[in-house]
Amino acid sequence: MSLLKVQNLSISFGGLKAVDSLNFEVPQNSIYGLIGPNGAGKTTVFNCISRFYTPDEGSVMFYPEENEVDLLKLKVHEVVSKKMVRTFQNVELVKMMTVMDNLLIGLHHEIKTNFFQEALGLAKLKEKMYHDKAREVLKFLGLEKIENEIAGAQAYGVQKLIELGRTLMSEPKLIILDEPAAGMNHTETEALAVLIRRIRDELGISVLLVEHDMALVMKICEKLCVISFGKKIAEGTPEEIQNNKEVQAAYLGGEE
Amino acid sequence: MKVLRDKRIQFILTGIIFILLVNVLPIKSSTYTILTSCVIYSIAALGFNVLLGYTGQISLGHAAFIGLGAYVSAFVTQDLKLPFLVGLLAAGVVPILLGLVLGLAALRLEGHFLAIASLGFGVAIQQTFKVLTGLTGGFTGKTAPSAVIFGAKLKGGPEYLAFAVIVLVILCIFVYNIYNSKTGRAFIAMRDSVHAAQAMGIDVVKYKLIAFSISAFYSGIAGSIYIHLVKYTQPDVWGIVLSINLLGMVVIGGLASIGGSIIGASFITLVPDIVLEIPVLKDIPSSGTIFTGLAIILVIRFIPEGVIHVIGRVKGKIFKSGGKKNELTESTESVN
Repeated sequence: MSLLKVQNLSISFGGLKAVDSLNFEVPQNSIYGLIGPNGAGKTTVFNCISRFYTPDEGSVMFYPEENEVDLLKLKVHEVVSKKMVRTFQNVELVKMMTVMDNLLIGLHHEIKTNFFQEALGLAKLKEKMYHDKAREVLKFLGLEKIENEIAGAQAYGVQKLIELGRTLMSEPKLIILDEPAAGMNHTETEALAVLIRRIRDELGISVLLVEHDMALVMKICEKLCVISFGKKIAEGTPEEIQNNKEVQAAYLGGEE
Repeated sequence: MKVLRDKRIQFILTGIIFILLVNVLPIKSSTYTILTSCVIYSIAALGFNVLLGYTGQISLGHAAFIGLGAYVSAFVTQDLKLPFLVGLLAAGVVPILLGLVLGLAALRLEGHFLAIASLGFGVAIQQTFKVLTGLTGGFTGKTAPSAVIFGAKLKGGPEYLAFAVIVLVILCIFVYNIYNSKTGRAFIAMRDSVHAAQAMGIDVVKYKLIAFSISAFYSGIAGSIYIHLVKYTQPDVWGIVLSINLLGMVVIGGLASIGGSIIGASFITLVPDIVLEIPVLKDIPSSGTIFTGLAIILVIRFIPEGVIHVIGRVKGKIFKSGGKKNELTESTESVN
């Protein structure tokens, strides 16, 4: 049973076909990697799935529970309430807000206070339980000590964790991570690998990621899809991918 | 003393102390008018800051909203003979409709394109004031009666000033509460990264419209208090100069700051009057305007974060307080 099914996905910008008839499926409860050389169209695929782009063709179906969700019918801001949420290649936090407030943004669609309650100051009482939830997430990430600190003052690696924490707030079924290890040092990347595993194992959240750090990808992903120039060139387990001649050619430039 | 840490309590206490002071101190009646003007523009600047400081949307046509509020309030009290408080409320609500129109334009425009569009919008509304003689009296102008609350006539001077301060305190508390809630977080998230905001489920259309509505409401309220102070207005008042002044108030005082809005508004309002008190300068024509311009340049050059942040820094040095929570107005430059 798959969790996310991308079928026949195509999108072009001007004359350039960025993604060309791409098919792949993310199984339930899995860690799935989307890899490829620079400019292969990985982030474009992510943007189609998370609705920042509307593909020219194809379908993106999501199966968070029994029912199926046609993601292409949603607006960008509606995706998160269907239990799928993303991160960005460059950390997109509200830098001048506290860590706590940044996490609360991740819960935006669930916080049911209306404007008048807010203006009259009645919303504060209701927000207490959301704060508790944010504290749980911070504890899971080992960040409970910096709850009230300004997000922008944290180290880059920590900011990436906060962004990851923000996605966990909405209790999603699938999180899609755009280069989670970019800009991290070796130790941080190791810790990230452990964390992504824990997210899947302890929280039951599947992960779809785009990543350049091959060591990380090979270590944590159960299945990989390799794309080059917008087309899928291989799919399989990390071992299969490592031994695939076409993949080696795409990355290293093979003999013609 | 924990209660005193609550900003809302601070607003109320500051308001009470201010009202007591102006009632006790020997003050000329013209000074009351100037102080009331400061309060009025503080309200307008507060609303403008919701837009510019918190949501990152610019408008160069906001004088039109203040003007509309003034005319609506005059119409409701003078022509319809309804109570002042009804006029005040109507003056807040009617501009929201116009705010939504400008908000819809802002959905498609950004940065300087929005600035130009809002400028045109403001000019168009000002022209409408000139022709819509039924509501505005055109060039003849429009008069308004004194404010009457529950049968008690508010005399000019300390009473009306006190009333304006009470309204300002209430509106400060409203806006403070909103900043520290879901809506406020959505505003700031949108300003810093539209994409991240959308990915987190924030409906950009909805929150941009809310921001424009709040600022139109505040502007309208300011307009209403203005016209019942001055008791007369005509279309020339509501032009580009006032819109630019509003921008100056928020930039000088401090973006995304409640205290900054008030300081900026008072600064821009007071400078021309203070300059007129100085012997040599008062003989120079439009010296007030010249000094306002000079002040804007100096502030932008030396304290671009606004006057409020200088005060914050000095306070920090004196008290060495470590309270970081809710200091959303803290500058990020040092952080990045």
